[in-house]
Amino acid sequence: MAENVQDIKRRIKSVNSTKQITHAMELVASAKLRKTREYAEGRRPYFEAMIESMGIFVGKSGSTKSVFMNQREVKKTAYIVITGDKGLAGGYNVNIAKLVEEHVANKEDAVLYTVGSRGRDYFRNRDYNIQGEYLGNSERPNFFNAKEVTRIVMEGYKNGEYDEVYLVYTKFVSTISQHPYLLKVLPLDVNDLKPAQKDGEAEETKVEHSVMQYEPEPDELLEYLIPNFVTSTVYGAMIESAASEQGARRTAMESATTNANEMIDGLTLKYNRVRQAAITQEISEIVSGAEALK
Amino acid sequence: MAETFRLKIIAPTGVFYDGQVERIVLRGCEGEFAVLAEHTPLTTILAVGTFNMILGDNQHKSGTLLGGLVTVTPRETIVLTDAAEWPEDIDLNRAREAKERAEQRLKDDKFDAARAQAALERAIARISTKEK
Repeated sequence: MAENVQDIKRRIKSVNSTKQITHAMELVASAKLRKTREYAEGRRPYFEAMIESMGIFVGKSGSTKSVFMNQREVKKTAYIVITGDKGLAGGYNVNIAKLVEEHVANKEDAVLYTVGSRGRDYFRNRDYNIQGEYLGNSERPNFFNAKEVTRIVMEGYKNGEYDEVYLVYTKFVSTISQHPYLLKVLPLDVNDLKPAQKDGEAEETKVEHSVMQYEPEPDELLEYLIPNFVTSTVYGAMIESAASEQGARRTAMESATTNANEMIDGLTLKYNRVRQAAITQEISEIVSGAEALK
Repeated sequence: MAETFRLKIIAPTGVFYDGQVERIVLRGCEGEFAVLAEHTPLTTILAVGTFNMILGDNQHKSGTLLGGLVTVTPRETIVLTDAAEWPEDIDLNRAREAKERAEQRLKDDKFDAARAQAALERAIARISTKEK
């Protein structure tokens, strides 16, 4: 019981103010999480309609003339790395960074496009080749940001700067569970896009599409659609990551608050014991002093 | 009352419009065209521009579509667009500023001409929707 009563009191106060901060952050994160999930829901109809049209065109044009669909020998790889702009979100940013590092066999053959400042800082410190950085929209991704990233990456792919493109993002499983995820976006796999057979409806759709007019030709339409499809995928990944970031932050802050509470309980107990010991000591001193005077 | 058909306008942020309409005029990449009920099946790309639709009860509605793809089938017409806006969502002053900025940037070599051109088209489409 060497500690001073005043010191313990001060520590309790400091832990308590930290707790207030983490608790506030937890509340903010859960409010933001709710909003972000709404955006994620809203994206779904667009994405589904997009996949459906892609499937039809791929079936229609039959060939795989597009450069974005041809596999080629892989020499260089590009990664679109989606992280947050802010920290204090548990393992959210670190998990993504680790996944990329595991996947990259050779630093020289990897080109990085980072979304969010955390990822950029991490990889810049480790001397990775960062070709593009997109900051300031990790919390509220917007379709045009996704479009910009995609346009640049697709141009690079077309010019042969790299031979495949991966998207690294955090998949939102539930409010308490998020998984880092690596997805190949280019070259596109034709088999993934073949329309799923729906019973009954399939026949009708087939007839419809056999009389369908295309303006311009299906091949050209596909050229237009592929960038949009990739953009939509990137946008979806950005939104999922945003939701994951809030989820991770909420969980992290929740456990920080719990820990702070535990610390406060422990310190309060200690404080009371020290105080009690001091009183007991004082009484015994007074009593023995009085004894001596007799 | 003329015949109506089902129209869906879907943007990445959500379903923008879903309902019965009598006619919609869209700006395709090869010029304006109208879709009525029983239109022949068609798939085409849209340019940045204004759309105009007539609902069943002679009500008119218009807005902007910032590019996209339209698929007309006998069952329904689906517009997949990058972004759609009603006139009330458009800030006229902001659009005017964007237009000026884009024009400036087009003259300047420092900026990406394609981007500025796209921004200019968007701004013009917004202004024309609002002023109609």
